[in-house]
Amino acid sequence: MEEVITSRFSEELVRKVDQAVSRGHFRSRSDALRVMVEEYLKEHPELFLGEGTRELLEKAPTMLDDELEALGSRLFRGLNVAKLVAEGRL
Amino acid sequence: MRALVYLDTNIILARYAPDEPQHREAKNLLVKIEEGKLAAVTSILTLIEVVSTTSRAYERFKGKAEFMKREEVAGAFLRRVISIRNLGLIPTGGEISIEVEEQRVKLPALFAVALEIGSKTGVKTLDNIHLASASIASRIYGQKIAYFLTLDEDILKHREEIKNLIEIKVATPVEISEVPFDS
Repeated sequence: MEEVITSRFSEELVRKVDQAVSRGHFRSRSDALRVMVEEYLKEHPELFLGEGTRELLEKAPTMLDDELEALGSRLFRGLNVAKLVAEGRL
Repeated sequence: MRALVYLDTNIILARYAPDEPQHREAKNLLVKIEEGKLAAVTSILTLIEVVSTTSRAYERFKGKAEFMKREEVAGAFLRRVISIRNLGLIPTGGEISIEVEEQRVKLPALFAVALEIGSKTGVKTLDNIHLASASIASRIYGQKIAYFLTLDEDILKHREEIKNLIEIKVATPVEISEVPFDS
């Protein structure tokens, strides 16, 4: 399903788009703008990603070094941290 | 000018693992960095490794940490690492375009450097990203990285090769514990 949207462009921008259409790069203004938006979104995945990371950080407790060390002493007990990190690189 | 060192993920995590053989030296190092006696950089890959390593440790630790969820544990370590003072995170950088037989590929600058290093060393894929980050950091900061600090056996094994390639000495915290950085 397609939707028609209205948007304002400067004369300069419209001139450039029309030039690209007249040179055969696109079938029409509409085709040109659709391709440009699609290309831009492909190049910029950051526009619709990253929420999960922000949420992870927002929900995570702020811990002092001593508290993190106490947590680490339980979390890493019996494990070699350097080897654990290296395992993740295999 | 303060000396600049590169921290591998294992150094940062060793600081929070009291049983780790070089925990004390890693802790001293991080204290020096936070006090501004030493500047440090690491890769943004480190953030992912901190989360994945603590998350994997949590998996083995299951049943013993009901007080915190896995995401909270990983998130708490991530928060702290991001907030370490005087620790710069080397970004992936803008994209470099490569074309082979009309097929165009865009690579973040970091990956392009890692690719180049990878073709010349025998280290593992993700280790190449750390080495590339250190190499890029020298250029960003306009300062030579004094040491690439790591506990990774494989990187340490290739230390001579790495020194010749990116002109950065590889060492462990114990090996540099007597270096007078703050003098």
